[in-house]
Amino acid sequence: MTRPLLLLALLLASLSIAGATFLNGLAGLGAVALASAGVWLIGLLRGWKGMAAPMLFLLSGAAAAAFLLAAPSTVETALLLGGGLAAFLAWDLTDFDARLALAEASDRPRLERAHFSRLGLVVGSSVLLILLALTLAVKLNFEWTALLVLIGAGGLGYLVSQIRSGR
Amino acid sequence: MNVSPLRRALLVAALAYLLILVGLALARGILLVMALPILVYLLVGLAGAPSGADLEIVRTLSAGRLWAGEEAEVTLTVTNRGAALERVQFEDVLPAGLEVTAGSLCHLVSLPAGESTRWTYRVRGRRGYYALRQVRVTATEALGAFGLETSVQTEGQLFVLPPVLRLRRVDIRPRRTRVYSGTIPARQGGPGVEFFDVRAYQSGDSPRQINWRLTARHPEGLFADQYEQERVVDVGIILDGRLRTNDFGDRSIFEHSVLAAAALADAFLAVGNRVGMLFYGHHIHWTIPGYGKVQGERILHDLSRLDAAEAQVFQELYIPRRLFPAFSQLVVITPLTGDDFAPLVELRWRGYSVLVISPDPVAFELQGLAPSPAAELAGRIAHMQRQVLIRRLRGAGIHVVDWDVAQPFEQVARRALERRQIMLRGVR
Repeated sequence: MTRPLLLLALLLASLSIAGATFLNGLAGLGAVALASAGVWLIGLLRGWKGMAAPMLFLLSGAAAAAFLLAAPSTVETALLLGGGLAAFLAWDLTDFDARLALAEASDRPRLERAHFSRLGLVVGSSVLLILLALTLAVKLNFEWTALLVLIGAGGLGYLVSQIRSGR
Repeated sequence: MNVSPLRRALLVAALAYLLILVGLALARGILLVMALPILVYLLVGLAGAPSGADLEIVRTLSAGRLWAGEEAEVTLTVTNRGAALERVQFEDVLPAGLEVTAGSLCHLVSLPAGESTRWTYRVRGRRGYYALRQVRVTATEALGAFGLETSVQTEGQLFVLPPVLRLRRVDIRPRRTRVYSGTIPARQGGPGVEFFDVRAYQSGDSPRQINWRLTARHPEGLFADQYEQERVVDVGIILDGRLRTNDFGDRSIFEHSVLAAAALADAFLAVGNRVGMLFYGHHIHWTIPGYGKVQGERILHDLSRLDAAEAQVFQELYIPRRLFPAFSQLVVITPLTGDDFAPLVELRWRGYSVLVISPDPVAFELQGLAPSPAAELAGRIAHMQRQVLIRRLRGAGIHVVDWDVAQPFEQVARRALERRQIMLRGVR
């Protein structure tokens, strides 16, 4: 069950991001998205380790660059955001798929059930929050932006220290 | 190997923050929106992260001792004594020298409170002692982003013993024997097989012992044949584990010495002798002398633990004589260096019967070198030096077996040790 979902997520991510970028005339970004997904797929089939994270960064970077370089329509925005979400899911499922190989066949359904239910919660909440965020467009002035940047930088340091300390 | 959960969380957190910072810096709110799924993922993971893991792990091995090449089955049984763990990965920490032949060291499972899980794998290894004492545990929430990594101590040890070659007999003849009957000629008349002496017939002697030919020549009395008593002896095996004599780059001749020590100990113990072993390398390890199968097992266990190593204090060969009974048999297993002449001759001079089994380091090293005129010349010089040393040792009454390790030890031992050699008689 995990492997088909992973392939589906990868397909959706690459097609959505590539489609949206091509529609905006950013063929280079579309090619990057397709190539990333292709390399990711080959790595997956050949059992290469450590491929998912760089490819996730590339796909997300392509989507982000499309937002910065063009002014996507509503459909294209939905495609780019959906593609980013699908790429993130593919990254998560790649790791889960590799770990699942270590489990006994009898334990796999229980692990898959728990993982997919939690992932469903993440996807549902994310979609809801994205829709909310897109509906309620808040204008930020420079002071607020600077404050948020500072809070963001501080939060990043805090998160890193928390993770390093193992808590 | 999979990425640790903490690194995964750090990785996606970095991506989220990158999007947020770029979005804020360029005032593009859509990038903040892109980061939302990642933030939700991290929050969901953080909320479900386990606070602790109370696990009991029991390890069982199908065998505590193996011969090299054999396999053992390792079974790990884990019981969750604490709260339910949505996803927990175990990884048994295997010492270097052991390899997995079937199954996996890792095991992933969802473990509710009070439940147990078990997995098995098979290992084999090269000669050695292996302590299996640690299992790595990574407990995470269902997404595998947040959790804790810890180690659980377990009990378990495995001896991989060196192979024991069966030698038919090893003829030795030390000057002193023990009181128990055995197979080593004791230089004393009595019950035995081989003719030893003739003496006057005494009451109680069997009539079959009467030497009729001598009695006929000396009619004043009866004369009886005496046979040489056969007794057990004390044998001390001295194993040279100095790095400078055993190591040649990435190759070591020490394994061959261990092989010879195991075969000789087995051969001596099989005929009832009392055998002890001294290892001389990084440290001195003394296996207290004993008899029988238990002693054989003790020696094999000790042999499985030993490795050639360097210690400045043991650069020169020094053999503590107080460990070995006077006039007993010593078997020194050493590749031999020029410095070893004096201590070996001193042993001989003190009355020990000394047998040196010397794996040939020159031939061994040459096998590992690319053929070249320089290597050939160096080999010839080193070989000549070694032959001179061996000849000097033989001249001092020490029986030296020069063993080219390309030949099997049992073949060399059969040729050099199974004959009642004139040389051995000569050094009595």
